[in-house]
Amino acid sequence: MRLKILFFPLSLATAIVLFIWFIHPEFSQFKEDRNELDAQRNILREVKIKKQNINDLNASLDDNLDKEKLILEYLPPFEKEEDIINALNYLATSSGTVLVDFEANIVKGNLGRSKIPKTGEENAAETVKHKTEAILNLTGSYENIRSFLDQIYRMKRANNVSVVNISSQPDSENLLAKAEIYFDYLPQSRLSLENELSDPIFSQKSFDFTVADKVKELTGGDNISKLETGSVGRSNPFLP
Amino acid sequence: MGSFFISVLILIASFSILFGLKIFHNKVKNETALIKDQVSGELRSLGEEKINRAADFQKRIEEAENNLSYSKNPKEIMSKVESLMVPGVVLTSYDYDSSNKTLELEAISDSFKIIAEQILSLKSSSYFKNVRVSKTARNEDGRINFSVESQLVLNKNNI
Repeated sequence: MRLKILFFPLSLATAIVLFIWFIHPEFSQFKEDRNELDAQRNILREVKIKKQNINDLNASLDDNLDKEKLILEYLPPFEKEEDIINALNYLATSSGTVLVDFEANIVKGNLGRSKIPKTGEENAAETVKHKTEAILNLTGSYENIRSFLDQIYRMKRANNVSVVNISSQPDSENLLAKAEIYFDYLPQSRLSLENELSDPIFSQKSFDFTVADKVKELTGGDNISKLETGSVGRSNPFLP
Repeated sequence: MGSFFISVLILIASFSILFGLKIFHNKVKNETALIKDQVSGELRSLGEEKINRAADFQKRIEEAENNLSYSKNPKEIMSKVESLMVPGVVLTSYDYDSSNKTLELEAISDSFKIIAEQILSLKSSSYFKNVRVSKTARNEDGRINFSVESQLVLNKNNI
């Protein structure tokens, strides 16, 4: 009979112990895991949308291969120093000036103008744009030097004419011009699978090609021929 | 007798809640693991080449746009100077620096009046500010060498 009296408080005490030691922690963990499940469902939904967007973006590039090529030429992944020398030589000759000397230095690092990564995206791939600094001296008439500088500006290669110094020379009608020009290049970006979702481009279905149109409009007159090596190979490289 | 049944019910209910919760919890954990696998599978099926191609092109067009917006055509600045030259002034040096947005001109003239007119002409233009004469000196021929420093006002409206 005494045991029967004790049964109710004992069962109540057992229920309380179960609740405090097992049910409550289990429920808390359950809630956390439930939230994690919801988050993963959202991620999966987002990945599916972004996967479709990435396919659409690639299709949009496939439809505009000429514009993709133009942008890759305008801002190449490598310094392409040989193209710069070839272009400067071509433009100097075609504008009637004489290229006296030329020096090229590669300046690596972020130029501080990049919009990427967007704020709030710690994992986004960093954009580090490099530049090739070309310092050149050329002689020619004022009009020809002006034409040369205009053609540089319109080159199918992102550049910035940073310094122009033109001065008259004694006993010569020709002017001497010194120019410092920066040619930009942007190494290929590689995203890791962990942070690819954070790139804002994957929220879009297509690219804005207006920049490519602007580049095309600006560089319309650039018809610099592609550099080819021609015949190469000589048994004695010290002989002319 | 009634308290005995209540006690049994309390115990049954407590254990049912605990085991029920454990079953649901395991279900949730399994589903989460399944979805994580699906996410990885979706990412793998995309291929890094496609992802990088799209991301790389976007970065290139953004940087190209930046370049188009800050790069100035030196010919345009030269044309502005040409249009502001006063008769009787001959340039001997033209020094343009886009990073500091400065233009320094050295020129030669026969009279101070013409030099003053040249300064006024530059000052009257909206393309130049802080125009000042940094040096004047008469040379052996009796002509006057002078240099002018100025800041360029470069924006979409004028250059």
